[in-house]
Amino acid sequence: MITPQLKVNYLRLYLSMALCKQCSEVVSMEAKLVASVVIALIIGLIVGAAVMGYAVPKATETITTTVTTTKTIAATGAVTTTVTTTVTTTATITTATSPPPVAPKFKIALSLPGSINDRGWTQGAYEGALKAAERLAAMYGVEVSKGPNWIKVGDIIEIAWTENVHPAEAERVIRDYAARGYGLVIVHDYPAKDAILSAAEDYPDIIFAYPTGDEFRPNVLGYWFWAHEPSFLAGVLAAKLTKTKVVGTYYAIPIPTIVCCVNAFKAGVHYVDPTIEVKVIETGTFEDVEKGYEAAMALIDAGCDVIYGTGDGINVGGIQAVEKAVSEGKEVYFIGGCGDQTGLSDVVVASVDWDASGVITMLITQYLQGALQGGRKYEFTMASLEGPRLAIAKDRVPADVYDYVMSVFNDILLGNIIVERVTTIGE
Amino acid sequence: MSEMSESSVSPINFLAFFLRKRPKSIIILAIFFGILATLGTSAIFITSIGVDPLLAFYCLFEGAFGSVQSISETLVVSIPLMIIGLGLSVAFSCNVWNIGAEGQLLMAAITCSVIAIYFDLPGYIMIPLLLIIGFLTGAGYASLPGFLRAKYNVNEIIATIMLNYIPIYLIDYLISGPMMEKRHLLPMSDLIQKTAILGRILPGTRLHSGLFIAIIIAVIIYFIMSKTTLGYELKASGLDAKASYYAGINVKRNIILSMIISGGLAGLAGMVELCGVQYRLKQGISPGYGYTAILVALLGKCHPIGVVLSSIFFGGLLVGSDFMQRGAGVPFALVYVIQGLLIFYVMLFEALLISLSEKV
Repeated sequence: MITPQLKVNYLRLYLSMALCKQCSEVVSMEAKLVASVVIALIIGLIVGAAVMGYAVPKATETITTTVTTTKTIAATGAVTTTVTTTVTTTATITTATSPPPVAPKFKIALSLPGSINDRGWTQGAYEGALKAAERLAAMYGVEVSKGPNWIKVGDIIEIAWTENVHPAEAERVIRDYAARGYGLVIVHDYPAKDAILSAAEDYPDIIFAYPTGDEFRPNVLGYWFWAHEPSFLAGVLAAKLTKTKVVGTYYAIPIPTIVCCVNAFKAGVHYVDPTIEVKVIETGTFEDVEKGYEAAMALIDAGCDVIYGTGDGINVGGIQAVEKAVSEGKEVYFIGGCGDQTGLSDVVVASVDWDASGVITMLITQYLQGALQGGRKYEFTMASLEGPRLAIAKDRVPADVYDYVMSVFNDILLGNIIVERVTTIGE
Repeated sequence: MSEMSESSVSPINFLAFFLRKRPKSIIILAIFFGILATLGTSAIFITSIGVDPLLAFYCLFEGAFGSVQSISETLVVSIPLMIIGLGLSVAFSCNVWNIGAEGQLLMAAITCSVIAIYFDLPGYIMIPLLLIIGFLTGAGYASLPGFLRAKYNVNEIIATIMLNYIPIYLIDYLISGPMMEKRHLLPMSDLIQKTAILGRILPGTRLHSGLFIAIIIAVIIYFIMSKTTLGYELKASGLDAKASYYAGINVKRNIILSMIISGGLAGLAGMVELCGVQYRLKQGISPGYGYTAILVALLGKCHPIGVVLSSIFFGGLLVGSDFMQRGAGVPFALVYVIQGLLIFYVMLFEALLISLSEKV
């Protein structure tokens, strides 16, 4: 409650503030000057925006029609004839930026953890979507149209994706796709598991897929990359190339998919020569180029002359570090991971290609055929048609080493060598 | 034309007169013009990347308020923003710049998760206990820079920013060390006990009962700030600390108190986010809510009703721009441009209108 005493106090307060007002007068003069300049700027910007909106020929027409089309998509298939005709007339004007005009029969969504040009994990999935779309277009004999975050095969199939989805926020993206009638939602990120299982409960008719899935529902499936098999081969290659008898590897986070690769790499090295030392560093991130550079530098300083990196951005940094070491006269090799990274630099002698593109293509085509089932895991081994493999740059590796690696490869395929999948860190 | 001296008839003067008569209309007009100017400026950015600005804005609205799903997602994001923003509005009106809400939120998430995971208590004890622990942790963590400011005049902005980094890395350590889940696979903690979960209030969506907590807090803050002596003293010492001290108000106590209220509410937001949305301690438990809430409090003019509205507005902006990215192909980074522009324009128009109303 405001007491009379407080009222007196406030009067005193007001008086002392009035004293300060004289000083503020000078300031407000300048402020008015700045403000008038800025307001002129704003008006300019608004006018500029209006001009830009209208300068593009027929831009306004396309805008109105695209808005109506988005509404028809939300109405899941209930497209009236009048709407479709307006769409077809304006379809010639619309640029690739507007959403697909007619609700497609099959809608597939990808939630991607990284950016689609990360040279690894996410790029693989993205390329898988493109590859699947092209294959399907050839199958149906229709055109492929592409937007900023979707690709459409005629009017039959739409594949949409979202980049840079953090696992703590994945649920919003997943639920949004599910609510908008996407039949298959591929969440290309194991840490988003909680989000998938929670959303799957509320949307029982939609199939959800995630990598290395170890918990299933009738509508949730997992797709497994047996990347530990080519990692074993990478270890064999590293052991054959090393002269210092020390090799190194770094990884992003200790999730099973990654840890089994690190362990298989160690096993591959020790398969050739148990005396070789394997140094391991954790970077904590897949994307940060600088962290990868530091990790690779630390390994090189520790005497490693072959480095196997599993990651996207961190491998770009790792390759830079190895290039620097090579330019200083050291003999250091790099083995990439996640995607085929042999094209990035001459120091990359081989790369464990997870072939995410092949796997995603497989999932999409299986879904369209109605063969995709929830509640189980799909495993992609080195022996399967689509799946992880070791891409070796043949001209950068001595012939005898190449032949030896290929013989081990054959032994794995024949079952003479069984690469164990060890998902715990440590011995 | 010598009758130009009849300046009281000109529209500018009429506006100035109107603004002086009704001071509350200043902020409403400023927000209206601010939103308009923001849309105009961001339209240029959107057009320059080759996207239809109208389609982008349509997707922004559709994604934020287009369906029951999207409204509930908007509210899910608004809840922590609202709780933190209400606390910050108290601190800001006391002229205490608590930039450390993010750290206070995370700290409370840590302590709450310890109790929610490892103690098997019935729900009617668990939830109130977590609410108290969350508030106390946030308040305790915030009172440190508050005490330093009050006692030694240490700049609280720098102190709170620096304290934001400690819980981030503490969580990193905990979730890959002592609190890592039992399977030892992913860097995150186990699930919290079932009794600690805040129930969902709308089936099929993620909207949880934290909404009620947020609304109750809004009512309490409104009551404190506009109906009690405490709120009056807090505002007075924010307006002019020296004059308030002269008037016999304990300014130092008010600085610490406002820090405790804002920190405690940030801590509550951490508890609500843990028990209502994430269910585990993990990285990214708050995607910068503590920082966005600063904008929420500023746009809401540090008034509880304004903060409630602006938190829903910012929640819609975040969720809608998420959909704008999918629906129209606009990069998500643009939302940060929109947020910054909005605050900039609103403050600018407010300054302009105030100087206009003082004219003549």
